[in-house]
Amino acid sequence: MTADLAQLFEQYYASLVRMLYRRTGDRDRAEDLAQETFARAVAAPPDNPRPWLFAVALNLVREDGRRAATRGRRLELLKAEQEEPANGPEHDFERNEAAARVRAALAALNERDREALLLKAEGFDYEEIAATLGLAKGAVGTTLARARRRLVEAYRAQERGKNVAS
Amino acid sequence: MSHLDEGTLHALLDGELETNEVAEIQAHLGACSACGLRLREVKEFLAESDRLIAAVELGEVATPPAASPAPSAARPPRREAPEPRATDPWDEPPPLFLPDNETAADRKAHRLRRLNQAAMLAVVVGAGLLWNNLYRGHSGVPRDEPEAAASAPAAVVSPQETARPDSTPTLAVADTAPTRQVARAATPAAPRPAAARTESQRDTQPTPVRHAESRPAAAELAANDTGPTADSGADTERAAPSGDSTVTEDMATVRQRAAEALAELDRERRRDRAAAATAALDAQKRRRPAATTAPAAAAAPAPAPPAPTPEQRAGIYLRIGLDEAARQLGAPAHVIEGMVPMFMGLAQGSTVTGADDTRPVVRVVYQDPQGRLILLDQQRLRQGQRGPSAPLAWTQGDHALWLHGEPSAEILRAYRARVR
Repeated sequence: MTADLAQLFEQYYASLVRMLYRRTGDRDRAEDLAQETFARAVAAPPDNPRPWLFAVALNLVREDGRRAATRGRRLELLKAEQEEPANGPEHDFERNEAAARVRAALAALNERDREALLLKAEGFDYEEIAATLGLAKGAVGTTLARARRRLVEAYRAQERGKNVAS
Repeated sequence: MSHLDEGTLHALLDGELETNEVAEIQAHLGACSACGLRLREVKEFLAESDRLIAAVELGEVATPPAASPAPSAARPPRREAPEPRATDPWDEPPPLFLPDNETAADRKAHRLRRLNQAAMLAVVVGAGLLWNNLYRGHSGVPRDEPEAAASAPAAVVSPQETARPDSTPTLAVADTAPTRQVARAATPAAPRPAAARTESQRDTQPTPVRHAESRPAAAELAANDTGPTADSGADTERAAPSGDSTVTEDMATVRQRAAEALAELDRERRRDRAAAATAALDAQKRRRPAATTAPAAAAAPAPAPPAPTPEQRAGIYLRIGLDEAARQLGAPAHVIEGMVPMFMGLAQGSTVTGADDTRPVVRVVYQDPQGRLILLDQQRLRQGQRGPSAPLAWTQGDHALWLHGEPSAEILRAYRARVR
């Protein structure tokens, strides 16, 4: 591993795993996909690493998702239940429940909106988001606007449903 | 200018617009209450969206597998990134231990996968060892002589790669040091400290699966020899011995802090960009048509339609915080002693008599016990600019200040004495 790649790894690994975890809801998958992403970076070192890494990671998520769908191996919820409790069972349960609801709200978004939102959460500016997702820079604001609104609305709809159910 | 679309407002709040665009938008926001309302709504969505996404957080910060260029035995056990592969790894079949009855085995799926990887590692190490022994037997290389770093890794990584000893090392993440450890640790006769064993399994864990399939006989033999070791190594990794656990926690803490610092830097960067864009209004020499500025010159905010918001009542087109106010003014904003501001914001300079109408004024908004708004406007004086001089419009340092609002002038004069 060259020094440049080692530096890339140090710089972006945690961010990549976090984004992938938010995307997949599965920590192990997120780590595997992040490592696979870096493996590809080793094979073909990118010029503009951050957009490249995240674009590859998102592609891998899509590929992996299709593969998993065909195998019927959707384990996200089970995996979420397996997360190690950090602050006691009640706190952990609430945190997982909230996170699961947010992930469900994220799932209600279309792919591009969701990815734009996750990239923004990792500190990407509009230019980087555009480069990663192959969008025009001028379209990023609109994409994020739609994504944020839909995320909040989907989450609120769940909250309302939950309140009605209880 | 037509109404602002949501995308533009998000770009504004994300600090993504150019200076001239910000100037245009601010001018529009100062005149269009509908867009002002929409901006508030957009702010709420943005904040709520950020909060929701932040709720999906990892329990602990992931530790990069290749954190150090010179790994030691004390390094916390992590999986290494796989070596670069010529073919698409997703074309490969799943690992061998993928359970048939997945429902029953879901909770152990990950552990089994690691066991599988560890076992296959042992297979490849064993195969590499056999090859090494054979190779040395023919070449006469002394057994205890350290191999050249460039050629050693290939012997460990896969039997195929040892066939080209002059090739460059292909381990993706691990450098040559752990690889040599692997070679030594894999020697059956040599005692193997637990730490070194764990390290060796960790460093080469992702690599072996595909190569092992091409050497079934040697693989089976080596798996039989080293299977239990691999298992205990996997257990060691899962159980996280106390020493490594401490290091893991320390590294996790450090990385957590680093991530927070980066996030803070990012927020800071956005604030700076927004501030720079706003401050650059000075350079724009933006001139508003006399027809629009003249009627707006009245100090009091124009009465708003149906249910005016506090911002509308105060004539503010953009809320700002203390930091932004200090950037605008070059110093902390003046306040009325003993009163708590409702909020701060920017108002059009053209709406304040005597203010530079090419720049916004910073407006601190208070509410008196009767619910009336008191507005303390401030603007930094430019070189050579003369400040106002009146009971309720005065100069303090290099700031021009105006105190106005809904209470009478007499009451305002009382507040004037408390401006600090």
